[in-house]
Order: sequence, then structure tokens, then C-alpha cells
Amino acid sequence: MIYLFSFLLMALIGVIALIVNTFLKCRLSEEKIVASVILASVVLFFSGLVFGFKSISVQLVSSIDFSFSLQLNGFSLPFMLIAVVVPAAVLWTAHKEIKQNKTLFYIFYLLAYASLISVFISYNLILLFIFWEAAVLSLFFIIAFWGDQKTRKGASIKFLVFTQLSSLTLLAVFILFFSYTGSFNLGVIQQLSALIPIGIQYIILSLLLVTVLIKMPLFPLHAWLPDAYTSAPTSGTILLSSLLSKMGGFALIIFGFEMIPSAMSGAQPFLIAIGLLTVIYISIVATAQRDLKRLFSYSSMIYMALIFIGISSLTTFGVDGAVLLIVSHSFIIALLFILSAELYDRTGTYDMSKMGGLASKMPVLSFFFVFSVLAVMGVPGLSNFVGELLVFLGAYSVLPISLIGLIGVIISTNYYLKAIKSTLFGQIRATFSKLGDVSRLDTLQLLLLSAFVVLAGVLPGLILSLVGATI
Amino acid sequence: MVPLSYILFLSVVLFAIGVYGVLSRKNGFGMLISAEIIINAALLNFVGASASLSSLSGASYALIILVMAVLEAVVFVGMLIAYSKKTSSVLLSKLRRFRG
Amino acid sequence: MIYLIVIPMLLAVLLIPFVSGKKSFLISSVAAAISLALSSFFFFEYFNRPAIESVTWFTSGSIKFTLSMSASNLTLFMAILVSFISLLVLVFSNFYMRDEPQRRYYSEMSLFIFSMLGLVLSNSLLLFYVFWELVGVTSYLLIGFWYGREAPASAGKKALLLTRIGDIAFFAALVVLFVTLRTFSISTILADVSAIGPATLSIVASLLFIAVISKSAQFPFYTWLVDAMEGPTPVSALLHSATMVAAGAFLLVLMLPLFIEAGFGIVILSFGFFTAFLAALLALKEVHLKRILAYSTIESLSFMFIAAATANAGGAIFYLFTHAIFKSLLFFIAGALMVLFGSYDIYKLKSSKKNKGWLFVPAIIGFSSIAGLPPFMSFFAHLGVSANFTLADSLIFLLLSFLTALFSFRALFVAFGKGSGPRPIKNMYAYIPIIILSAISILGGVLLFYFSGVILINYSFDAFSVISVIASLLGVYVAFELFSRSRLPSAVSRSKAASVNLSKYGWDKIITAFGGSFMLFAVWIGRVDDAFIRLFSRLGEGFISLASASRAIENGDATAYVAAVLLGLVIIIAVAVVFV
Repeated sequence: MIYLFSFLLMALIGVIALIVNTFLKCRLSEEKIVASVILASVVLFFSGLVFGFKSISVQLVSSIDFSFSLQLNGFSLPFMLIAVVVPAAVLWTAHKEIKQNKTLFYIFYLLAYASLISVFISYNLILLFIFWEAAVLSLFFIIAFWGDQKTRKGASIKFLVFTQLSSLTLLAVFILFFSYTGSFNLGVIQQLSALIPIGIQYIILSLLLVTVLIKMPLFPLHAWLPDAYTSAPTSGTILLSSLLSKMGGFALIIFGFEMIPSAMSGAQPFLIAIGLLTVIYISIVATAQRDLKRLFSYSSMIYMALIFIGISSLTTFGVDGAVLLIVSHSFIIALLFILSAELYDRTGTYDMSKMGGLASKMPVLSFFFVFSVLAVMGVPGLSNFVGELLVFLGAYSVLPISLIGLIGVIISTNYYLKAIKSTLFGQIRATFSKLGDVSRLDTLQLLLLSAFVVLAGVLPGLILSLVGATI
Repeated sequence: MVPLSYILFLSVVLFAIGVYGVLSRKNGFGMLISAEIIINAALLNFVGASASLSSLSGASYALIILVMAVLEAVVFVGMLIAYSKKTSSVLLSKLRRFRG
Repeated sequence: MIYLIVIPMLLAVLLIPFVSGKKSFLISSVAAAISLALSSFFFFEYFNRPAIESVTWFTSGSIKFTLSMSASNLTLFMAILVSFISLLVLVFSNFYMRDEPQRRYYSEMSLFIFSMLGLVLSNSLLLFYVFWELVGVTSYLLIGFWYGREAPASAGKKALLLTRIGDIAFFAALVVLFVTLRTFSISTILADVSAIGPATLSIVASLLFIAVISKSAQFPFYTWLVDAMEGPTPVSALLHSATMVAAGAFLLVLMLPLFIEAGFGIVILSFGFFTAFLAALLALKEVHLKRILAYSTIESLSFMFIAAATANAGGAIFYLFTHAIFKSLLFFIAGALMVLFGSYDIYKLKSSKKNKGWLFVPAIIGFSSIAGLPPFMSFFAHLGVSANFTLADSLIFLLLSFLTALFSFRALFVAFGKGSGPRPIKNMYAYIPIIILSAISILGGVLLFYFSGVILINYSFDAFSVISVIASLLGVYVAFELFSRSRLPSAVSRSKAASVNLSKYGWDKIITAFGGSFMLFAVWIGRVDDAFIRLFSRLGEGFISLASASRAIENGDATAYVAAVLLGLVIIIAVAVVFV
């Protein structure tokens, strides 16, 4: 039985170790400290899958029902999987790109790591909110201090303003839950939520929607995404796209699907319409992008829209598909951003039109690049396919017109193939004739992520079996 | 017994002098002394009220205010010392430097 | 146990990256041979005793998603065909792809063969779709094999893009079918087809139809197949003639009851005839041998569609089988011509005036097969295709026969014009597959009469058959007159006149223009979104400037602070006095 608290404990030890390391000038590499914390967490997580988790609940302030309780709700495990494993792979990328103020960066990194894991296992809403904010703020600092020199100031502030608005509405949702059920405890609210009057449920839904539309993000509250994703350092971008956006999905599942399904079903056509609009609109916008990182940022939104549609369908298919897409997309988008960073390191640009023919110099990188793009396109055998299938099954069964979302999938094929062709195929430029392929450790990192993608693609049942576990 | 109105009048006059002093002083100590005058004006107000209403609560409040005035003067002088160390003067014109 | 047929190829894919180049050929061909042996074994084992094997892939909620394979006469016959042609193609590859990167080629080919075998054996539409997409992806990788050049890279991209439209349509059909009937199993779907409402049925049929015409390169999707000829010739032989493109026709045949129920017979027939005409006319204009063969493939696929549309599924499958044989034969010949004589251009081959040697007789067999001349197997296949024709269909078919013979023998006469000199060498890896396929083309016709064992087939030998042979011979004669006697200028202008309106370049230009205008539209939308984003940036910046402005209050002037406090005090007292 693995204590859920142990994840926080490990991160706390890591932070202390980092601080001690700086002040006492021990010559320990910061990355090694963080790596050991993350490795320990990974081991703990997988042992927990085998042996079970143990929850903890400590009353802190009884008058406002604030208790430190960590417990698995039915959807914790798939989210924990990505929150525990993806930052492990990203650590290598962070190591390569962050050279200044490393201690501070890794403190924020561990803070984000711990907060992200804890958001998914918090059983008290106040606690959840604290961790939610902590994750957001760590990412804000990461973008603001280690992002791209020219654009980070505007991008990080816009990011902060938007996500703080989403946190505000989330807090309002929590307060509404509290006033109508008398508790901040997730379990209690879940049991009593059916008694909330439907008018209030609609208000909760509207507030929750603001949160989710900003967080995931979806049209029309997506304005923070392109700048934040492109200005952030690659490790920050991956944390944003793989994990923070999934917090929005988590919120929608836990607070929407589980607690106010009647309001959601009343608003269902509207919800699915937003998702479809996002898919089609963003796929067109993405077609026009020449910057590889920006392209992948936009394309990430399309999958979040599919996840949103899946959850809004309120069917088992849809929600299962959404969970599968969440896990699968986390890994795949991490792969894509890592690979575009590798290309940037070698060519000095993200602009696709300035690359070309790189496959001849970098066969391993090209293999993974083509693999990742095929994965994100939803080729069967790789993880995105089953998720997409289930999402559309769920969506079609409640709203047949939702098949038009597939138009977005067709449009996106175009820019994915264009991305491959512009960067890898064709004649290589003279300036790039001396480029090297990815190193062994890079290959290991890519291989680990790809292995998850293949595993989840061939055996989606593994991920689906994680849904619904409450111990 | 002096009529209450005279005491209040004196208190107001002292208050006005004190306010004028605070607003027009460049010297830190000048500000402090003017602030003390304001405080004393308020004290006078309390004591007068206590005397005319024959109640002790006014006087006790006055004592408390007196103690607070002393403490505040101590803190202020301490800050002025730190300030004068940095700017080698007690004129508050250089206070701009310390804005955050 | 049927899945064992695909396992050798899967193992080949996994093994090849770890071995040397030379061994990759051995591994893949041995795997193909094993698959062939297993397919044949299972064919006899399960002859007339069909069986279905299923396994649960995953469960969502309470619904199990199963993958099933079927062992029936038809599916196992297809498996034999696919593994046989694959084996021959792999052997030929050892000749053609000698100087190319071996491991990448053989692993991608093995992945393709694995997917194709899985496709023909699938009983679950879901599994079928999985392999359908995989063959599309491997086709993309193989067409763009020489990625260093612009043409193959674009061709691969175009192929995947166009076929993906069909794939997505297939995906949508899957979704609709599953939600309606709660099953992916082909057998169950066909049994319950009347339970689907008419509107839904039309939607499903339309979607599946888009899927099959995109994969089988019918109008309006045919351009990808012609450009796909940029890939290596063995790839063209295997994917783009014998197997992958036939997958569309195969799906059509499998789901034929659904199409008939939805009333799509006439639609399929019209598309088939139209595409056939288009292909034949465009072939007359081409000088690149592989592109001529590509158009011929498109036309042959149309024949399969036409046969299916006239409710003669057996005719379609027998033609598929025949076509696989003679088309791969022709591609092998083309590949040999390229390696031995250096060009695919039929006029360059003519002007090289070299002795084509042992290639000549197989070429006659191959091109005659396109035209459907007796006594070759394809003549018998044409009997199968035209069995259920109405009078109108027959007349159109006669015209097509003429045109087909015309363009195929044009290619033969021009490319194999008079040549002299030393005979070309016989590389065994090229020679043996060509000889085998030639032999089957000559002798295989007899199989028509036994083919009902595989799938029920209608064939008729009547006056029409004779007339169509005469029409073909007429085409041969005209081709001989025009192209063998070197009366080039008038001939070229005549064929140009026929195809000028339907020029592939015209349709291709339309598609390119569509792509271009979509790109402009996308750029415009991109600017809209950028403006939208900058709007929010300005909001953020507005906050910042507001903050900076109010910063002025904190100016460090103590006196101002005190004044402010007193002012505030005055205001509060005034408010208190007024309101209390």
C-alpha cells in the first residue's frame, strides 16, 4: 500500500535538497536531485498500481471544512500516470536547455510536479484549488524567467491573467458547491450533487465552462495559447500541453460529468458545438502556420476539443475515449515538442520553410518524427486511434451531426504531412550539411515515450482499466 | 471648571497647527514634532471630555494614546536614523530613493 | 489459428531493423513464403467450412470491442493471392532495389504485406479499418521512399492525403454502423442490413463508397495513383496494382449487399464506366510506361467496380485475381526495361533501338491481357465481368475494349519497336517471377470454371464476348497502324484531341487550385486568429499600463502621503456626517 502523501513528501524532500544544495554549495547536480525524486515517484506510482494506494485525511479547519485529504477518485489513475511519467521524460529536455538559475527552475519544476500529481488525488476542494494554483503559478514563473527573451513578458502575463480568471471561476464553482451541499469533500458533494437545484447547476456549469474553455483551451478563450506555448522553454511547453491542459479535462469530468450531468445534458448541443467549432476553426488556422512549435500548439487544441466533445457526450464511450485521448495525447505531444526542439537546436529555427531534407542527415530523428506525426494523426495501432473512435462513437450516439468534426481531422492531415515533408524530405540546404543525429540519451527518451504510445495503441484496455479505480 | 467649548477650541487650534506643521516640514524631526502636536490635540480633547462628563474613561483612553505616541515616536526616530545613515541628512526630500 | 498467416510478416518487420542489409531480403522473402504456405494450408483445411475467430481488443463500459478474422474460401484465396504476389515482388526487388537502402525498404514492404494479409482476412470492420489505414500509411512511406527528391515526396503526401479522405469516410461509416447495429462484424452487419433505416443506410453507403473509390483510385481521387508511380517499381507492382488498390474493390465486394440495399448499384456503375473512359483516354496521352500502366490499373479497377455493380461479385474477384497477375507482370517488365535500358519513356525505349530479348514475349502476354485477348486468362476474366451486362452496358464496354486495346498496344508497339543488338542478360531474380507470371497468364484461364468454389461467379460466353474480342482486335490493328509504322505526328494529334478536355492535368490543376485556395483561406483565418489573440494581448498590456500609471502615486514624497491621508480622513468624516 503506497501512501498518496508520499508523492508530496518526495517532492518536498527534493525542494529542500535543492535549497540545501545551493546554500551549502554542495556540488550535487540539480538534475540528479530532481531525477531521483521523479524516479522515486515513478516507482511509487507503479508499485501503487500493483499494491494499491492509501489515502490520507487530516482535518485542518473544521469551520470551513478544509481538510488535507488525498484519495483516489474514479479518474485519478490515468491522470496520475501522465503526471508522474511525462515530467520524467521531459527532465532530459530541461537539462539540455536550462542553463541559468537552475536551482530556482528545478524548484518550480518540482513544485509543478507535486502540484500536478496532487490535483488529481485531492479529495478536498480547497486543497485541490491550492494545488491547482500552485501548478499554474509555477508554470507562470517558468515561462516568465526561462522563456524566449523577446516574447516571454507579454506571453507570461497574458497566460497569468487568463488562467487566474479560470481559477477564479473554478473557486466560484467550489463555493457554490459548498453552499449547496455544505461540504468541500469530493465524495460528499458527489453524493449530494443531484439535490442541487437545476438553475444553480446551470450557473455552476457556466462558471465551469469558463474555467475549462480557458484551461484546455478551446475557442474562443484560447488567445493565451499560441504565445505562451511558443515563448515557454520546451520543458515548460510540454508541461503546459501535456499536463496543465489536462487539468481542464479533469475538472470537466469530475465537476461536470460526475456532479452536474443534468445541466450538462441540457446544454449538450451547445457544448458539442463549441468542440466542433474549435476542431474545424483551429485546423484551418493551423494550416496557415509555418512555425513548427506554433503548429503543434494549435494542433494540441484540436485534441483537447475532441476530449471536450467526448466528455460532453456524457456516454461511457465518450468519457472513456476522452480519458484515452488524454493519456495518449500527453505522450504524443511531448514527443512532438521534444522533436521540434531537437530540430531547433540543430537548425536554429522553428520555421519549416527554412528546413528541408534533414532526413538524410538524421535518420533516427526522422524515424521518431514520422512516427509521432503518424501517431497524432490517429493511425491505428498507435494510441490516438481508439480514443478518437470512442469519442466519435459517443458523440454520434447523442448528436449525429458531430461527424462533421472529422472534416477537421482531414484538414489536419494536410498540415501534418506538410510538416514532415517541409522538414525532412527534399533537398538539404548547404548550411545544414554538417548536422548530427540525436544522441543515445535522446534516443532513449524518445524510445520510452514512443513505447508508451505503441503500448497504449495496441492494448488500450490497460489504460481503460485504470478508470474507475477508487483504491 | 473651564467650559468644554474652550478646551475643544484649543484642541482644534492645536490640531490645525499640527496639520500645517506636518504638511510643511521638510525636516523629519519637524514632522515628528508636528505629529506629536496633533496627538496632543486629540489627547486634550479626550481629557476635556472626560472632565466635563465626569467620567474616567476619557482619561484612560488618553493614557493609552500617550503610550502609543511614545512608541510611534520611537519607531519613527529609528527609521529616521536608518534614513540618515543612507542619505546623511534628515531632510525627507531624498525619500524617493527608497520607493519599492 | 488464422492469425498465424500474418505472424511471419510481423516478425519480419520486427527483426529486419536488427540485421544487415542483405539478410533483410532473405527474412522478408522467407516470411512471405511461410505466409503463402500457411494460407494454402488453411485454404484446404477450411475449404467449404468457414470459420470465424475473434478476440476481445478492449472493453468500454459494458461493450466489448472484438477483432475477428474469418477463414472462408474467399478470404483464404485472397490471402494466397496476396502472399504469392508479395513473394514474387520481393524476389524481383532483389533485382531492382539492389543498390538502394535495403533494411528500410524490406521492413516497410513487410509491414505492408502484414497489413494487406490482415486486411483480407478480417471479419471485423474495425480490424479491416486498422489494416486499411496501415496499408495507406505504408504506401505513403514506400511511395516517398526516395524522399530526397521532390517528386516522390509530394507524390507520397498527395497519396496519403487523398486516401485519408476515404479513410475518414470509412471511419465515419464505422461509427454510424456501430451505433446503429452495435457490431463491427461484417457477417452480422450484412445479416441485419435491412434493420438500418433508409436515411442512415444511404449515409453509410455513401461514406463507404467514398472510402472505396479513394482507395481504388476512381474519379475523383485517381490522381494519387498516377503520381504514385514515383515510387520504386516493385512497390508499384505490389501496392498500386495487385493488392492495396484492390482493397477498395474487395471492400466493395464484401459489403455489396449493403450497397445493393441502399440502391447504389447504378451509382457504382456510372462511376465505374466514367472512370474507365477517363483512364483509357488519359492513357493514350501518356509516354511514361508506368503511368500508362497506372491508368490501366485505374481502368481495371473500374471493371471490378462494374462487375460488382451488376451483382456479379465473383466476376469482380476473378478479375482482381487476373489483374494482379498480369499487372505485376507488366510492372516487372517495366522495371526490367528501366534497369536494362535506362528509361520508362516509351519513345526513348523505341529510339534506343536495343534488343529487348526475352522481355518481348512476356510483354505481348501482358499487354494482350490488358486488352482481354484470348487465350490468356484475362479474356476469361472479361467473360466474368460482363456476365450480367445489359445491352447499354455491353455497348459501352465494347467502346472501352477498343480504347483499352488501343492504348495498351500503343505502349507495346512503341516501346518494343524494332531493336537489334546483344540480348539483355537474364537476372534470375527478374527472370523467374516474370516467367512464372507469364505462365499463369497463359494457363490460368481455366480456373474460371472452378472459381465458383471460391465465390459464386457468373460468366457467359456469348455473341457479345466474341464481338468484344473483335473490338479489341480492332484496337490492336489501329494501334499497329498508328504506332508501329511510325506515323507519329497524326497519331499523336489524334489522341491529343480525344483527351484534351479530360486531361489529367486539368483535373489535377483543379485539385491543386483547390488546395491553393484553401491555403489562402487558411492564411486569412490565421490572420483573423492572430488579430483575436493580439486583442487579448492588448487587454493585458492595458492592465499593465494602468498599473504603471497608478504607480505614480507611490512617489516617495512623505508629505504627499500625509496630505493624502488627511484628505481621505476629511472625506470619510464628510460622508459619515452626511449619511449618518
